Amino acid sequence: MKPGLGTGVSSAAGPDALPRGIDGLLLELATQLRAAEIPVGSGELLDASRALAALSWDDEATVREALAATMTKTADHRDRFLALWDEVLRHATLRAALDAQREAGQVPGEGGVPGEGVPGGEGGADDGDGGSGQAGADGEGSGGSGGDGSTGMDLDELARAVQSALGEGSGMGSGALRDLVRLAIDAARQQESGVVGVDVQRIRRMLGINRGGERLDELSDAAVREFTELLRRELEEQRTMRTGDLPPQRALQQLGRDLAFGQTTDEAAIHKAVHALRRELAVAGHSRRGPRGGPIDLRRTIRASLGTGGVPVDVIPVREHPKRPQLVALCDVSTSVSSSAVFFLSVLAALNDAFARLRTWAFIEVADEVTELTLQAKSAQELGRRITKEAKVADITGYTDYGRVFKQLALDLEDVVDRRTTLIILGDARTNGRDPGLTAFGSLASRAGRTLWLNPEPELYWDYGDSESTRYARFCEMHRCATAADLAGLAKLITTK
Amino acid sequence: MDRTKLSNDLQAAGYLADDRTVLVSALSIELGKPVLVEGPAGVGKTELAKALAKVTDRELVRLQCYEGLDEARALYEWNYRAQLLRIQAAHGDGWDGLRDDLFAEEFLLERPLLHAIRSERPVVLLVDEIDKADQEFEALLLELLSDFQVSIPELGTVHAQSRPLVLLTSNAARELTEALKRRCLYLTLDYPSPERERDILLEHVPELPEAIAFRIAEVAAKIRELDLRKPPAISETIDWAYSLLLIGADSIDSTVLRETLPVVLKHRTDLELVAERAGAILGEPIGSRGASR
Repeated sequence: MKPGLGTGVSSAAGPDALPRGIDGLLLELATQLRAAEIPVGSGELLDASRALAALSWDDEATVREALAATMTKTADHRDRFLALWDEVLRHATLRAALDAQREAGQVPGEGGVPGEGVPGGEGGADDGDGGSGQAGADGEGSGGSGGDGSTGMDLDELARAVQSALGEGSGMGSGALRDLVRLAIDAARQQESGVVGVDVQRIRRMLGINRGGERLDELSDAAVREFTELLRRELEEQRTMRTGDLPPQRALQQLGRDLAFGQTTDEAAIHKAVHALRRELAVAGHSRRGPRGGPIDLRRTIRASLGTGGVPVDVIPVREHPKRPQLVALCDVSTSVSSSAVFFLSVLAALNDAFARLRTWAFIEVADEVTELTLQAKSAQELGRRITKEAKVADITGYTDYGRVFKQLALDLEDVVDRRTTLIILGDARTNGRDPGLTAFGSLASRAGRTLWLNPEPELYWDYGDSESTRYARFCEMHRCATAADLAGLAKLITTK
Repeated sequence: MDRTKLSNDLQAAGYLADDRTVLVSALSIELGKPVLVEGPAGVGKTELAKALAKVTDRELVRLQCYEGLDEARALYEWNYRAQLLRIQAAHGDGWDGLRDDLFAEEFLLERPLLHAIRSERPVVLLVDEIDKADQEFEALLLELLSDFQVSIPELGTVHAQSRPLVLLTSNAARELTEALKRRCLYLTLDYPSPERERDILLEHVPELPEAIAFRIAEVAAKIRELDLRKPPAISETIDWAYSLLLIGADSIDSTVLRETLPVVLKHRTDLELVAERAGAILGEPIGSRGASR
């Protein structure tokens, strides 16, 4: 079956408006991915359907990987896609099963023979996952037959079976667990309330695997979680087939996966702004072709012109020796800037990305080099954690002492900072009444090619209380910077000397 | 599109691919879309390109990217030095005759991208470490990937005779532009599971006994779990296997580990860290780090 895109129906119009089969699945998936801030455009959807057209849909893994390859383009997006995939697929097959049931002329709730409904459904929902598609029908099936057969099973026996299945190291597969789940649901059918959440807890209590149960220590947490999830799904599916109402699709946040989601948009914006900043701040480190304002090395130029018959075709600039770092960042990591701490750390991580040579120092009362940590940390949060754990920045009080830090750095950075370096300070300039160390800072700033101070406080607050912003601003360019937007604006304000 | 055949062919070419890699490679061949391969250094991104070239009987054209890579080094350049000498040797001949001579093939320095387009034989174009190049280069590449033609003002437009199979590798050191990512299929390669790494080792070092191959793979996996500056690449585990074979070790104890570690780890901090944890690495059974999704 060759999939084509549907007639451009937006799934926001409601699940009933979605086209059948694979088109519906793709559109639903696209909606969910966009809600999770993954940019999926029509181009990606077309690629996805072409990819599916080229494949044989033997198994779910193939379909999933084909969709992941065409619709996600970074590792981050891929993780979110995988988290959403199960839910979207389940939802789509439930919908297909409902449609099949309706088509077969059964009114939901009659609980007729579902076996006949399914082949018709398969035709419409040919998404290659026969197993999950069957689940809706089978749930009914075993519900129908289980009603007769399971009354024979003793409740205690069942509870024991479940507990041993969930014990540490029993290694029972999902299929077998699912069977146990169905048996449990049938056994508890009389007291069913119809509300999925309530029934899940009730059945768990019945089996002795609920929170606070005596046997809980002997059971494997992961297995209990899996069992509960299967239980919830099975109940939902049975309820859906009975009532004809689709359960709402759970969004990424509700799926309980540990994904750094939500902060990433900010980080992306920061990265973009820092890259823009880079162009403004770029100090000539590596030689570009042609003289870009640098002096010409006459001797070398004439020498090279010999190869072109005396015509100086290659103009050779005086070679600069870029041994010193391009960028030195000093970051205040005390609690007074804690609200901007994540922002500053994201900026550091982004700077690391954009600049080839970056060295970073973190400070509160003492400054410590954290270049290695910045290189290794994969996110702003991780960087913050590692700085707290490993960097020696606090001494006695934990309040920032700019004066002491600048005096120390004036010595430490003597060989590091030169006229080719840009110095960036991230801090609020609040000295807590201590000596601001203006001379030391002045000497540092004068040695650097350019000094920027990013202050998270609004300009009105500068000099309010113990902030020495104006006095520091004499030696550097101080800018307000607390969000990615500020950073982007900064790039426009700064012009290269 | 026979994925099993592709998988077997890749294996015959010496590359053990997992299902996902085979699937995305097959899709790329079928749909004609480039593949963006991301992953840590040394997991076989470049090797994949080489193996695909062998399997599809195409020529491998490799463009290694670096910061400051531009059109002249990647696409084409005129050999103006030679042209100038030619002008000087012409001694005032008419311009028309000279122009044809000057802008001829012999003065055109063909760089990898132009070579990939002009080649008569079908080509696998490997753009290695695209994240090292800058955005201007990505724009150039994008233009190329959309039409597969190059316009040389003096010579006219050159069209590709067959569509190259394009692989872009990235160490994810920086974010690539959206437009480039959208054009490609996405594939992540990660370090292999111990079972697959054992197979890879046996493939490359056939004389290695199977038991020690698995042990090497296990220990390597444990080492990668640590917080290293540079986790060992697959090529480094292969070197390690060779060295163990050379010194005739039949098991890995702490002495052997300590002696051969510099083959695997290349930073002093990493060496120190692993030496510290040697006991834990060798003693514990393999953890839950199985095959990734």
